[in-house]
Formats: sequence, structure tokens, C-alpha cells
Amino acid sequence: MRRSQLAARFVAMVAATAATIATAHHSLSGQFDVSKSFEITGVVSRVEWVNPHTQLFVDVKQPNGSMLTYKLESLPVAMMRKAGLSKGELIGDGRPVVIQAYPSRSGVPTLGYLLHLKLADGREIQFSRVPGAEQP
Amino acid sequence: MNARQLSCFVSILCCSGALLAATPAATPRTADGKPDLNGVWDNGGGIDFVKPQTKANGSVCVTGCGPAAPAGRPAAGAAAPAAAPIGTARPSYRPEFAARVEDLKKHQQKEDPVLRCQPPGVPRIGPPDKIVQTSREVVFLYEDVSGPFFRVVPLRAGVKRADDSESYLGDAVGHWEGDTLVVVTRNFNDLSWLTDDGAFHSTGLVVTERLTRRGDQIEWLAKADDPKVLAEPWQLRPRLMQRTDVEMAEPAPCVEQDLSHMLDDSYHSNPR
Repeated sequence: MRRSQLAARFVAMVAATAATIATAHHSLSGQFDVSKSFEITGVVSRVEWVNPHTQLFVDVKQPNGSMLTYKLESLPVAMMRKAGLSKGELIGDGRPVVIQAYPSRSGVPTLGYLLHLKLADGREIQFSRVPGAEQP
Repeated sequence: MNARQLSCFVSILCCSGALLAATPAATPRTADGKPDLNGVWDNGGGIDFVKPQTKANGSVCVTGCGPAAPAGRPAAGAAAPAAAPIGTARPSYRPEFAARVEDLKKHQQKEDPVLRCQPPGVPRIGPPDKIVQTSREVVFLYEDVSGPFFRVVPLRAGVKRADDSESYLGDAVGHWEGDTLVVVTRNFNDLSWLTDDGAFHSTGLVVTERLTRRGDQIEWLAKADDPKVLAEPWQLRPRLMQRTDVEMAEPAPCVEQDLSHMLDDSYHSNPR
């Protein structure tokens, strides 16, 4: 294969990859700031196993001892099931979780889009790619 | 049998096994001789771009994952192998409707019926997740993002339904053409879209689906014809359904919770 053909193929691959990423990010940009993420440590207190988006509620203990509940949107139920994830798996048993999420553009600080969940036993669930993170 | 004969016999057995393994599974048939379409079929769970990966420690990556290990068989939901690529990703419209499609796409977050938990319509709903087949009818079951759906496909014309009004999923009638189940659906309302980007249709829509089982797979072909608005009949890209032993679970309800904190109407991809 000639060098010019190789270069053309590389450019096409980069363009296709960029288009895919742009599409994926654009799909949530009406609600969430897909250029940023925030991290919280807490306990999954409730899961709404509904479409078109499952909802996770995470209780996070504040410095003054009070509890703040975050509402995090995530993937549709069918996607969760295809990945072998169930409502019970996500809600756990009061176990601590570390979560990364896109912040909401609406300005509500406790609203987000779930990207990544890490359990105390080291297992991780990536729902969508975290901005700036390395490919798993 | 001496050692040489035994060795030869074992070699023949091994070769036979290899040949059997390489031969595609035979297509099971029902008592009336038709291809057996019964069962649960993995077509991508209704969402065809998710390729989840599970790691040795139990970690799971649902989307945005790195390259997956090479698969031993074609992925469900993937385009079916064909001699020549057929079908397109979206329909083409008569010129006078192009602006309407673009406007709906521009305001998709507010306009897409599926994002408001309305039925996706046909063919947007895609291949069924489960098929129940008798000699008189075929029933398609779906677990979709906007809820659970079913379609009863009688294999004879003239079946009276409880309500003959225009509907999201229309009235389907099936027949066999050789080993292919052909399902023709009419009597649609005009409230669903053909794709997730503003591809509206009229009540004149007619959808023809063709399901052909080969071994443990079904090739699903669909064509949407709506001469009132489309420039030409739209042939969708083929989809491949893979037999699975994982039974369907109770579909989750659809509860819209996003529109209240939506800041603009930008496109929300929702491919099937």
C-alpha cells in the first residue's frame, strides 16, 4: 500500500472516530455538560428501574453530618440487562460506591449523568466513557 | 484392530467431528414443516450499538469500551452477511418534505415520540426479542426503550381485531414464501418516526418484513413504503438475530423525567 493511501486511510479513521465521539457526546449535551465530570462517594439508596433512562439515587454524607441525595440518570434498562446488570446489582446492600458523573447544565448540583461506578471490592462498572479518562 | 488401524479410525472420527463442527446448524422446523422461529432472539436488546464487555474480576464496561476480543460468531444486531451491501441508514424524502424532516431533527428532543415514552412504530422498533409461532399466527414480543410491545401476526387475511383504528404498530398479516416469513403491516397512525432523526411518515405507510431462519440465526429484512412522503421505498439495512437461551424479563415501565431539565432541543441519539 502506498504511503498516500495509508495517510488517506489514517485520516479517514481519525475522522470516523471523531464523528463517533461527537455524536455520542452530542446526544446528552441538551441536559449535561459532557466536557466535565464530578466525583462523589456515597451509598446507592434507590434505583428506579425505568426507561428511557434508569435513575440512581446516591446518598452522600456532608461535612456537617447531614445527608445529600444525588439523582443520577443512566442507560436504558435494555442496555443494562444486555451488560448483565440488574437492579439488585446496582443497588447493592448499603455498600459504599465511588461515582463519576457528568454535571447537569440546569445548575442543580445534585443532578448528573452516571458514567462510572466503583465498588469497595474493586469491581468497576463503566456506563459511558469519563471525559479525559484512559480507554479501559 | 492393530495400532495402525486404531490410529486411522481415531483420525477419521476426529475429521468427522471437525466437519460437523464446521457445518452450519440445521434449521429446525415445526410440525407443519415451516422453519421454527420460536424462541428468544438477541438482536442487540433493541439497542444495536451496545457491545458490553465483562472482565475477569467481574468489572463491566457497557459503552465507551476499548476494542473487544475477537468474536467467534457474528454479533447479534450486526448487519447480516450479504453478497452485496443492501439498504440505507435512513429514508429519502420527496423534496417538498425535506425542510420538515430537518426541522423535526433540529428539535428532536422535544419532537421525538420515543423520548416521550410513545411507541416507536414499525420498522423503527426493529426485530422482535421473542417469537411465538403456531400454524395460524406468529406473535412478536419486544422489550423496547419506550416500553413493552407485542404484535399479533395472523397467517391469514380477514382476522377481526378488537379495534381497527390506525395505530403505532399497525395491523400485520403474515404469509410464508418458501422458508421466509413475510409480514406486511398497514393501518398505521402518523405519530411515530421511521428513524430517530425526524423521519416522519404518513398513514399510508406500508412495511414489509422478511424473516429467514438459517441455523441459529434469523436474517431480518424490512422495507418501508410511503409514496405520499418518501421519494422511494426505503430498504433498511439487514439485521441478524442470534438465538439465545436467556429468557425475556418483565419489561420496565417508561417514565419520562428529562424534559424538565432540558436546556435545548439538541439531538439525542436513539438508534435501534
